[in-house]
Amino acid sequence: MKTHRTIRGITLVAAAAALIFAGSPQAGAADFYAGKTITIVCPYSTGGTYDRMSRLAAKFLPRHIPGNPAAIVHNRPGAGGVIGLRSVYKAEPDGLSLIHFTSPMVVRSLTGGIKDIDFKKLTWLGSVGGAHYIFALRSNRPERTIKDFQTTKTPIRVGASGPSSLLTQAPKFLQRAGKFNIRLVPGYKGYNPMALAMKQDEVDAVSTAGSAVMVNSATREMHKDGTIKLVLSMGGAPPPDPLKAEVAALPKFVDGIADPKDRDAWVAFSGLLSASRPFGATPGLPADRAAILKKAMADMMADPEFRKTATDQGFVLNTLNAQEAEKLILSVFNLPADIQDRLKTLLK
Amino acid sequence: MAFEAFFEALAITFTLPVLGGILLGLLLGLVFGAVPGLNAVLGIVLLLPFVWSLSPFVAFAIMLSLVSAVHTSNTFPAFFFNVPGSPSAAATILDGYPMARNGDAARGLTAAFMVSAVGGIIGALVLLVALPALQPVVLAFAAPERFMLVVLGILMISFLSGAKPVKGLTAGALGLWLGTVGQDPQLGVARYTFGSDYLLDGIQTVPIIMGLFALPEVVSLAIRGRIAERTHVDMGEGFRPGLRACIANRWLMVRSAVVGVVGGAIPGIGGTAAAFYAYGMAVQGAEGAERERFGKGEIKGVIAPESANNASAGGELVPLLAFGVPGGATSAILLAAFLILGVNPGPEMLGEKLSLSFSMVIVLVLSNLLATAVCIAITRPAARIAFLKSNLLIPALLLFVLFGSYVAYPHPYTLVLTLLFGVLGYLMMRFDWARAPLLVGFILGPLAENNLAISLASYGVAFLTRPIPLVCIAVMIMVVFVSVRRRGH
Repeated sequence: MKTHRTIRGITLVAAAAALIFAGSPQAGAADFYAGKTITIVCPYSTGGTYDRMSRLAAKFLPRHIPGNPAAIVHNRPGAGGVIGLRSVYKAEPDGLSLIHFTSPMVVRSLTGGIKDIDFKKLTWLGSVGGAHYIFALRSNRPERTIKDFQTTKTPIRVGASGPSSLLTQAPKFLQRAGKFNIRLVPGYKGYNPMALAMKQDEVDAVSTAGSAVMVNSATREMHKDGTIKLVLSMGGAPPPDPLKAEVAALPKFVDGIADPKDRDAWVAFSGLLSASRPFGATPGLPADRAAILKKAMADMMADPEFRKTATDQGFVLNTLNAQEAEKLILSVFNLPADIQDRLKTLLK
Repeated sequence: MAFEAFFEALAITFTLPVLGGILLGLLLGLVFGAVPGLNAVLGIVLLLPFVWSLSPFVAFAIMLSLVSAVHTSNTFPAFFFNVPGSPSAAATILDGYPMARNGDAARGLTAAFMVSAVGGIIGALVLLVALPALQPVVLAFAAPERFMLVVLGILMISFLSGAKPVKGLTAGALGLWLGTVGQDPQLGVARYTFGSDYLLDGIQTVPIIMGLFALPEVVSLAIRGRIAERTHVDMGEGFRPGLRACIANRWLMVRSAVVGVVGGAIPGIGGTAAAFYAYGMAVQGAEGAERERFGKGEIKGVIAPESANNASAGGELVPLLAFGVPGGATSAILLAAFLILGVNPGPEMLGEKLSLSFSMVIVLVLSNLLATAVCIAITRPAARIAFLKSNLLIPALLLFVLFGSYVAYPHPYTLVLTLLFGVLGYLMMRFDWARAPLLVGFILGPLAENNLAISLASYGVAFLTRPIPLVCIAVMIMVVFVSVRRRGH
């Protein structure tokens, strides 16, 4: 009888433990994710930095998800990333569809460029990096100060990409908020062709992430031999280590913006640069799966092997957890109406 | 230092893992080239997740041999189904398919494979010897030069690939227009998308190729009963006549390889366009009856594009290795592979990573030779496809066409587009309109538009007065003048 009671007691304790264990998000997710495949959508073409980071995540993220699911990258480029983002936004909310995109895309929902995606509903998982934007100028141009850029008689030809690209939006701020005498040369498909155009003297300047200057061999060499100079710090996340001292000595773009509303608009926008590489998932995920994915993302970003691999590939990891990234990115929606309007005007 | 690096590369390349990598890439490439719709870009993308843990020597052995083999084996479907195995063989179908219809597939294929090897090796050797020398060439071709080169390409193929230049130019213009569907690259404004997200990405190349070239052949096959109009050919005739044709056209082969290297080296131009340039030059260089044979099974029309498209693989590596700037879609993926493997393309490829650069050249040479040997070995049995009955071929061909289109852009509309272009292709074939200018206009149109916009924004209309654009204008006038004069005669 006593033995029976003991067995029943053990059984009850075991069942309770099982229930408690099963009730934790880890166990639920383990059940769910085991044997499943996560799709990380990269809304840009193969070969670029977002594609490479998506592939890094496909390799490292599953290690931190209970059940160790498989992960694949699906490139769905088009419409400045909207097609890929929309595919995840409208996917089944099961925690198997993730997206890695550029955060300044959220500004397009303010400017009317994206109407059917509510960024506030997206499940934000964290940001693996931010960018410190700089203005790099060919040394054969004489301008060096903010005043020079504003008053120069010959427009500075600045390379730009598609309308929703940061490589276009940043020089638009220089032109419209900073009143720089700039002629945009749009149409380059990303930073690499733009770097070649700098070497060919087809454009005088680029406004880009400092890390991009150092990763691309053409601009890295031109920077090394003095063919181009970094002439302005535009802000965002801290600059990469090799550029820290140089960037610290540069004039700040924000100091060159005379209109306070333009300045506020730029400050809000440059905040996005600090979390420019977010990961997200479909809106309305079950809470346990969202928690698992957020924790897995944080664990991946702290994983020394991931950090080393990413750094070796030229990434600057200024990571933010899910909460920090969400707060920072969505802050543009909390801006006063007049600053939101100004952002729209500047980026039109 | 260069010698040491070369011998180090030689020693590493002939180790088992690298040789195994070459064989693996070769096998994959032969399949990805021979199956329409699959191509080198897709092959390398699928390989990317597996290259993480490999040494750069092994990883690039797999990827580069895949590219070489694709450029070689994509000739098979061009000959038998009038559909290029991958876009770079699009120019080959102009004379390759008529050769198969004439029962001359074995000779044509053998010649195509041999010149593919020679073109590929020339591309690799140019990469080896002239990497530093080609840097100024890459730098000399900024947006204005690329724009004029593209316009020249469209004009050449419109004038040279059919009997009637007006029809050619109209088809080229239609291709240019189709190339504008999607988002405007400068302003992001949607053009001719009719509110459809699908068309925002523009029309994809593969459904156009499949529809324009392959589907009309299905109809034609159903009518004729088999590809070849003759019912029997002596397969033994293939190798030696093919070899003789290569030797007889050795300078065309070399000239086309140079066009391929330069086309590959200029970012944005690439192997497909280079093959059309080479084809156009071969037509331009022909006289009288020989010129009339182009488009009807002239072997020079196979030799020129095949030499150029294999040579372009070496050329595409020039801007990638020299500046970290990809020359085309394939090298864009290779750039990702470089960075994933922790290798930063650029001057260090000529310095501390010189042995890796040499190893890539050796891999290109070896894989071109091996791919050619394998393809020649299977040419005779493969050439029998031309004599199979249509009830066997049509289902397979339809499957390839629809599968290939769908893989390129998985969406139901892709199949609808393929069928629509099939109707257009059939009508063009029926009423004797050349289809190549449409394809060339479509492929090169977005390049022309983008480079024109950059040229105008950066240089204003003065870009037309730069030396290379002036030379291009002179060549265009010459092409038009000579073509009109010949037709007058």
